[in-house]
Amino acid sequence: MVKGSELMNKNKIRVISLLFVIFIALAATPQMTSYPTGVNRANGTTGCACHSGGAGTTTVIVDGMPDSFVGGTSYELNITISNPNIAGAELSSNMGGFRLFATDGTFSAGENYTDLVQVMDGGITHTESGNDMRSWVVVWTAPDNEGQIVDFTVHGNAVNGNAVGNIPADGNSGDKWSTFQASIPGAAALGGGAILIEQAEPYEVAIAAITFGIALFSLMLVYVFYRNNPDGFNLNGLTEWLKKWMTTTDHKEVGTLYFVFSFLFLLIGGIFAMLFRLQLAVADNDFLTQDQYNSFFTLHGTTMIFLAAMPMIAAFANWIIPLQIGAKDLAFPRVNAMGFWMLAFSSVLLYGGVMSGEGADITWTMYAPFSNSLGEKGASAGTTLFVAGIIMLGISSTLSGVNFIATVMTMRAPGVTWMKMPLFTWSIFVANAMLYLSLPALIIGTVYLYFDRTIGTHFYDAAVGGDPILWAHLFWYFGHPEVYVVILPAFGVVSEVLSTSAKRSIFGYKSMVYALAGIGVLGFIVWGHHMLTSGMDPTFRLIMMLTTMLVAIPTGVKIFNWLATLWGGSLVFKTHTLWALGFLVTFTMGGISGMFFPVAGLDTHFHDTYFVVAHFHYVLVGGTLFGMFSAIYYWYPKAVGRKLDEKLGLLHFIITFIAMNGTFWPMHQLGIEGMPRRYHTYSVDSWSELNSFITMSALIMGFAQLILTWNIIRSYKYGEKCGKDPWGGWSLEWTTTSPPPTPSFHEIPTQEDDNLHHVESTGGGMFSRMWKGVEPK
Amino acid sequence: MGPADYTIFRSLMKTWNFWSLVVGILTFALLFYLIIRFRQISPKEETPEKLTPGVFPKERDNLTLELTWFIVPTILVLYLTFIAWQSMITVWVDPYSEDEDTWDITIEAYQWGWNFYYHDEILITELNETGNFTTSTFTTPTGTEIVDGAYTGDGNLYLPCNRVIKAKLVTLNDGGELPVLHAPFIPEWGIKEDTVPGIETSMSFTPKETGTFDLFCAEYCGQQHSKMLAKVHVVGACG
Repeated sequence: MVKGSELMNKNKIRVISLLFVIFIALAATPQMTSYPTGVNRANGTTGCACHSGGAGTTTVIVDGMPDSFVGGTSYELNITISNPNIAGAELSSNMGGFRLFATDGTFSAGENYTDLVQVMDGGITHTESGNDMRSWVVVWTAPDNEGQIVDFTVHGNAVNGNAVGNIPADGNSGDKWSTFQASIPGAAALGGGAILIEQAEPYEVAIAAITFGIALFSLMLVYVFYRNNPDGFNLNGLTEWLKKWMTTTDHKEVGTLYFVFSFLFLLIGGIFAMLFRLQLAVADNDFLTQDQYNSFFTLHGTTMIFLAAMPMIAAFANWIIPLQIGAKDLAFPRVNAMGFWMLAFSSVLLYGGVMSGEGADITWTMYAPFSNSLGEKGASAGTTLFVAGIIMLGISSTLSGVNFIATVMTMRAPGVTWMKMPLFTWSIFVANAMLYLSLPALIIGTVYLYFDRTIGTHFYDAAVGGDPILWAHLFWYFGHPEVYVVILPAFGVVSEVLSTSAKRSIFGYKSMVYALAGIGVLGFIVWGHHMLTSGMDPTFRLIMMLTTMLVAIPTGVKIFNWLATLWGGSLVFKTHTLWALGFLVTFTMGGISGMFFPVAGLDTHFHDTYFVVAHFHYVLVGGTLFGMFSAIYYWYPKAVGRKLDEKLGLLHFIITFIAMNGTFWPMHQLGIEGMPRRYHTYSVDSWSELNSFITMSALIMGFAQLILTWNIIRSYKYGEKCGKDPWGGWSLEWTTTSPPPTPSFHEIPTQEDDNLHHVESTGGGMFSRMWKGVEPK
Repeated sequence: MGPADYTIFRSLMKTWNFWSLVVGILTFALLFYLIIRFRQISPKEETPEKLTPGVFPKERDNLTLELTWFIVPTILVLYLTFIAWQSMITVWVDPYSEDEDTWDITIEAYQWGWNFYYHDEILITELNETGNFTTSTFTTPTGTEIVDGAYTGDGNLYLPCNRVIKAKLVTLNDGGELPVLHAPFIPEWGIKEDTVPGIETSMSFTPKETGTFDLFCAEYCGQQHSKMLAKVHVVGACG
């Protein structure tokens, strides 16, 4: 028998050696590469890969390079190659070629060389008729930014002229090429010349804003801690207090963590959006570089979906579900906390790249075969971290999903039967069931992607038998249910809010539940409409077209049921009511524009244009976000015991609602005009006007969220105090105190049923029955 | 800006805009009517049901009404699907039937630009009147052999007017280029289709007006995605 302490030591050694092995594996993994052909495929970007190299024999000379350049000035460069051993001169054809790269500036042909040289990506090269010589004249026009150093690389090839006719295989033999390199500083980079006002790097602005936000957030944490007990304030207690929050498993506290986390990332995602909107404000803008733009919109999308929308839904689900169904806590409180902390650390992985200047630039859809590509033209280095972060997010969502499903299935209080469950609980249940069934596809897809990027597998690489469309199928099999996962909880919130505000029960409770379930099922068979232009079989496209159209039906049922709920009610206009009504307007518009995509003749134009951007922002901002804002104003009193300020709320609603429409409505027009999405900049001047307007609206919308932030912070201390049921809602969360005790119910409550007390029939016609309600038989 | 008037896009947009307006106006009119008509005027107002915390409220429903807003949208959706189906055949089925007299080109995408190849003798003869082409027999880097084909090399696409153009879409894969997705997108005709490495996709269109139009890449393909541009020149007579 081993003593306890020895057992612990043995376990420790085991854990440490296991960790050691994992670290070794982690360190070794990125060094591995596997090439299906056994060798590294040649890099053809130099343009000289097909000719054999021969440094030392061929000389490349470039005359006419200035010591430093003045912005906008043109310089004539003479490029000459020579090789005493290769006598191309006698042959008078196929004597040589060159390829020049420069990191900035523009090129054109020198005088008399118009047909002999041609401009190519990043530089200039000879034409077919320009390879009958060994010297060329080109003109380099220096860039306006004199504060930089421009690097030149010139590959020159002395050719022996045996490439007569079309026999490239033999034609390359005996040729020798070599490379010339030079750097020319701009006048300002030398310290002299024109003085340029250095513009702030948007990258630094973003990182400074985020860092500043986190610092402010930490200060706020300390302040909240101080406010808890101003008299006994002692910094030593801070660690204890933080420890309490970091180890909590109470559903309300984890819910608060989720909320604070999601709100922080909502603001960060907004900062990214405002930065790239500035870039898009006018045609040919260069506020952001292409790399920055690409990684900013990638992080904007991923942040908003995975780090803002989903956690905010999880926050309300955590807080409200046990209260609504009369449970003391969630089914697995520790799994719940683990889900949150996985999420928190995955955000570090997702942002790891951007802090180093190599942010993932693979869009939130992470399309392979671009996202698995490495190298100069491939996805940036931060992508690997990003993909790892997505895998971790998947684990986090699975953990929280299984928890909500189990809670709703097993922990309902007496009287809370399936068909007497509040609609918010129903929506969370359906959403999590969808999430749980669709997440495996994403996790498998991202694990493949991770392997492709790290150990050199080829799941998505067509050149060696991988499938480039596989990713799109896996991703959208998850991705489309995912958009319902984020919209259904908003449906739930709106159902609760409209019923409470109209002071009557929801119309058509049963059809609301069936519609939710219907969307839940249909949501799984529509993923192909994201891929209508990816070369699939027309029959498959037809099926996806039909199912996509069908989703409109249950969604329509829900909208009309909400309208019928208002009918005959007595509607009060609280801030959460305004958000719910705003949701009805914007979500309906987003729903209608969704009907344009499954149509072949329209989708071939709309796919990947701003019309798509307009549509999903109407659904995600006008739907999910407005629904969540409604939930904030509706349940804040339950969580804090004080109401949010209604005047600030009204201001927040009006500004956000108008600015939201100002931001996204014009995008429909841009989409019709054919502006492609994910474009760093555009050269069509007529798009500038609408884009400037969009940018202005977006900035207003972004800053309007500070009103909400202030409202939340201020009302925590100064808000109007409220009782158990400030709005007049019926579900079980309103029977407990605000804020609720821990555990949330000392005694499991029983939900009564008003239908059992009214048996007499009201009779009358359709509208009077709708007015008065229908009695069970 | 946007697709030309003769495209299928414009006629479909008319139908869809019409039904969007009908549905939108109906819904919003009803919404605003209900908001104003049934707002609370005095806090003491009586409501048909009383909501009490912890009590599931009296259920209200009406099968006729609910069936109405189930069946009417279903009919509308099926009608719209039927129209959409027609357009699907026009866009993705008809141009590929055997008896269609098409003029073939190949669009080759690479990071970040386009190559356009012409391999229809009559097409080349017609285009040669604009004097930009050299003809020869060659193999494109993707391995397509083109007999008496043509290649402009200036990065732009030249097409005759009023002919059914069938474009084969391929991705350049010469070992040095990354084979990633691209999608040629010509807003003037409202068409796009992905180029997929390893798979040959295609798209078809019939230009009916001469002019110079934009060609964008619509599928995100990396750093210089927004620089992957070309011009499409439609030349000749439109008779």
